[in-house]
Amino acid sequence: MTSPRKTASPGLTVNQVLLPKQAHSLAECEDAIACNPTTMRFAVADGATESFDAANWARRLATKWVDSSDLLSEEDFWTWLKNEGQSHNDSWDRLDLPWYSMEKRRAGSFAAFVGVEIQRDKTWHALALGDSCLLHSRSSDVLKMFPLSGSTDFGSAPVLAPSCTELNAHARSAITLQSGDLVAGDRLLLLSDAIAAWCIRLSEQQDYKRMSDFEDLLGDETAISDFLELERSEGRLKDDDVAIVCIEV
Amino acid sequence: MYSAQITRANPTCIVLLVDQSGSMADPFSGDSTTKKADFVAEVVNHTLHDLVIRCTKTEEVRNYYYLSIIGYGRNVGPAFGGALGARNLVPIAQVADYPLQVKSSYKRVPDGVGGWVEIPIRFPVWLHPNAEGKTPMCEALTLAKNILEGWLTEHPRGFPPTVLHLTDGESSDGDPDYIGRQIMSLRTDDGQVLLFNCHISSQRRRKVEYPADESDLPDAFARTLFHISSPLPGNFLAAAAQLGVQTVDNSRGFVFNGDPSSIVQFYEIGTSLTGMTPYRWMDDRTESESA
Repeated sequence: MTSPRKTASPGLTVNQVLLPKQAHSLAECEDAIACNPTTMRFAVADGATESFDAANWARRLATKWVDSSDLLSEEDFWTWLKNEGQSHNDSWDRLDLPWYSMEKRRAGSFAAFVGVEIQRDKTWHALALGDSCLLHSRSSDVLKMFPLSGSTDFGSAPVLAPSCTELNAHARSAITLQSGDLVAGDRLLLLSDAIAAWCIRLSEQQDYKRMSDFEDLLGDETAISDFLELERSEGRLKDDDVAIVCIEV
Repeated sequence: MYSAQITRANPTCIVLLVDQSGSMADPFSGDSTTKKADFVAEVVNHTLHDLVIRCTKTEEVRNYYYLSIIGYGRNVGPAFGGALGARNLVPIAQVADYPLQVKSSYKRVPDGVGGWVEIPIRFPVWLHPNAEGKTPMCEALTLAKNILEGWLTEHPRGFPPTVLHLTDGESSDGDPDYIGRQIMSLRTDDGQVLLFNCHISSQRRRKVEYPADESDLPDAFARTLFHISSPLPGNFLAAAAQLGVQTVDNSRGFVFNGDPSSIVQFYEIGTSLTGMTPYRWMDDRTESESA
């Protein structure tokens, strides 16, 4: 079951897709997407399945970030992450948890995050922590892939956005920033890891046809779901949650 | 092979075979205070803790694993106690909910930038040490085989079951070769059942860890255990590498004359399954004791 939505943003066409793993419901999906046409901010977060309350942490990161301003420097983002992490962790304080939840909770929650802000001068400014990615394409050319740029870069254990920053101070140095210019017709794709790896592999293989088919289907709920399920069943797309935000200028 | 995804609909099975013979009351060489049975029980409890935590989704434990602990010594049978007593196979969610007790402690952990923070930790206990009687290894392996045959009838396509066998001595009820080979011949669509053996010694003897051939083995008993030890699949080799344990492509899941660190690594590697990162529980233990 997919959840594609179109978001009205001035001068932009924005499509969102959220597709859970096979045999999972949308409620079980641990990827999150958020779009705010007022702040012109868009984000994808991918909760780490093995961590505590990953889905809510991913949703919090995506929604709170697009509703904020600034947070486009390493320092600002880290301070914000620390506060959001504290609020997220505190949300469990009042609950009488079984021992295993208490144990799991002590390591905190983790999620990959990528967010982008489009500014009035038609520049984009993005921040990422983990293996959720941004792709900037123009016609059939991929201009930038960020923070990972090769299909073989996926699969190792990436440094993710932690809710317990005090236990994961090393994550701060893994925050990466990127920016670029936009012209009419450009597309920015925010992608969680499985679909990002798939897109980057298509780019490496110069399979422009399949990439074009994919982008053209993003606004059609049934069509994009069928397309991605076919890619999964034929082994080209890893069976993982999928989050996509496609911003077309 | 050994690539089936472990899900609630397609779970896997882990059998822990634990020698509880009288000789397990002896201490390790060079450590007159720690009995082998005490240390093994502690490692088994931490292993179960790790498996439960892996399956924990916030407030729920998902049944990715079904566990069996078989003790053998004076008796042969399920070693779970309390509410889980006398059950051969228990879903991990019930293992989580019914420890015999939960101990609490504090642990200092690095904050990643040179400092330390102190956090509370919990140690559930499922298995108490036991050391009585002889070493009826064949009877224990036969019980494991019976449990596995039942499991495989219902789960023919899952990740193959893993049997982790720990012993400190030779079998007292016959040659385990035949029953060991029978266990290793069982299979799912995803590969043969994995039987790994860890032999521990009270005496300071040269240990052999994860050999690929028999050339370094000291006697016939060691060779028997080698023959009934499965080669480590790639995911387990990767887990060994993460722990800094040296292996080669054809390494068997076998340790002979192991010491305490061998036991910890044996359970960490043996429960790594589909490439899951081994949980470094030894870090917990060390820190909590020094805190």
